[in-house]
Amino acid sequence: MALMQGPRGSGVPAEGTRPQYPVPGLHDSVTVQVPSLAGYADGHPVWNWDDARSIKLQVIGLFSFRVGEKPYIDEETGSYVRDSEGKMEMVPKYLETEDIFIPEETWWAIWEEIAPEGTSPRAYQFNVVLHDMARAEQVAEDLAGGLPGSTVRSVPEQVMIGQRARGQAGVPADMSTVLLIAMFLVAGLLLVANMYVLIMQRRKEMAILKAVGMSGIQVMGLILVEVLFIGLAGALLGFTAVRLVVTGVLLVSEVTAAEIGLLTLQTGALVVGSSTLMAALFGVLPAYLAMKQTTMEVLRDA
Amino acid sequence: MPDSEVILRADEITKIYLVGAGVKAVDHLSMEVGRGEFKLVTGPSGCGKSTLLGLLGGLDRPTYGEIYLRDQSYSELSENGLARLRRTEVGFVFQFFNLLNDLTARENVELPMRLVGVQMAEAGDRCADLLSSVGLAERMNHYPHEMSGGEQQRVAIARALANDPAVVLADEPTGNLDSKNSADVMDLFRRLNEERDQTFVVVSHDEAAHDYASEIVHMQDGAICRVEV
Repeated sequence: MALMQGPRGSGVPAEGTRPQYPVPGLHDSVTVQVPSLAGYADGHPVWNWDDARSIKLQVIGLFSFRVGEKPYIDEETGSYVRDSEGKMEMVPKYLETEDIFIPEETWWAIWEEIAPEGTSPRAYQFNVVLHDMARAEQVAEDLAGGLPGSTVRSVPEQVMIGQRARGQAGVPADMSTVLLIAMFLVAGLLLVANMYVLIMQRRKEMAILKAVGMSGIQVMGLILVEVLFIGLAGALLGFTAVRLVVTGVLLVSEVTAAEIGLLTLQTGALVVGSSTLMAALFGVLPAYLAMKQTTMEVLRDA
Repeated sequence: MPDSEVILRADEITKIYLVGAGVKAVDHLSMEVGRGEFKLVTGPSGCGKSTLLGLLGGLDRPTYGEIYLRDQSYSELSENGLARLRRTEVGFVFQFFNLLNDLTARENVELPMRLVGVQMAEAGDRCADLLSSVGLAERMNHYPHEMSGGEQQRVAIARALANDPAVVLADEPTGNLDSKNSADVMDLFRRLNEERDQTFVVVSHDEAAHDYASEIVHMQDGAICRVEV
């Protein structure tokens, strides 16, 4: 989710031709805040934001967003340049991101909605609403990279700015990272505790293995393999359960099977890989304890 | 001490456990075990018998002193080296049998063989021979919980012999058995000692075990106080 705001009043409206955008079959929503044209001052349009309308459109796909045919001059972003004969030439500016796509019909629907008669369309601010909040930071980053003359903020950032303006403590923009780390730590500690209990229950078995000739390192390896297996199985089970729900939502949103498959593979690799790595890291301590236990004392007890 | 080749030697070994001010479980103890010997170690509870057995078997290291198996010094061995020594040169028998409950008798006996890389078929044959020699040919595919205490101990003895070790170390092997099974186990030890020239070091409180030993070592406070030959 991102709020994008362009420089108000800069540039000169000009006619343009409709670029040929590909039309995707993907859908999400984009909310565009549309000001009304109050008039002109010094040749620049004056926009009335007080009665701005909010237009929500079913737009979003997953793969690219293009703000094409930028009909204003912007030296910074080079949205239009002079050709070899010194004439001004429109250069469509494309915003590329892997997360958003606005199809041509939608784009022109926006223009028709916001542009007064006889003027070229311009939007100064619009909100992008994503279904997948996990991608919000990345989308905001992509948009900012694609539109260097614009201000792009994610909702957490915007909320924080708003709260600070009111003298409240801000919500950290990286809260999701903090939560993620906390979750991993809690899960890791639970794994350590569970493995410790497991080892205490099976210390005799490990002592027997040492007595018949396994080294401490081999016993430690055995425990680590077991921890890895548990971590892998847990990650697969958890991921499958959540993914089933997400896949249902994506299917309702008419996302194609191929795209769902790709997303599943990408997130699956990330989740399973990181969970297994975490299991390995947190499994070292219980495995070390298993390696160091005093074998003879364990084997003497009933 | 018989005039046989010394295969196991403890030289002034001391074991101190770092509990509180430190507990000296074995105190400057020296002993030799000859090939084919049947040595009985006895003494009151807490005198360090089991600790001594753990040290002789390479399950633990002495705080001071040195142990040799033939000419191999334990202190020169890494942890992996000691593990290898336990796999190939030492067999353990315990009071509570210590079989793996999820494995059958045959699988328990095969385990040490598999650890040294014996092929499945050969391990199966050797395992069958061993279990037959301890009178359990018909019980090979039974799990420990399906066997009596005496049978479980015989499986443990077969497991101890799996890799034809230089010495078998037994810690109270009859401590959890009735008198008949105790006698059976000790008879089995003596038969293996005589027929296979198998070396035994047995820790036991059992007075009846004295009749089987070629040498009886009495321990007190971590040291040898008397030896009967």
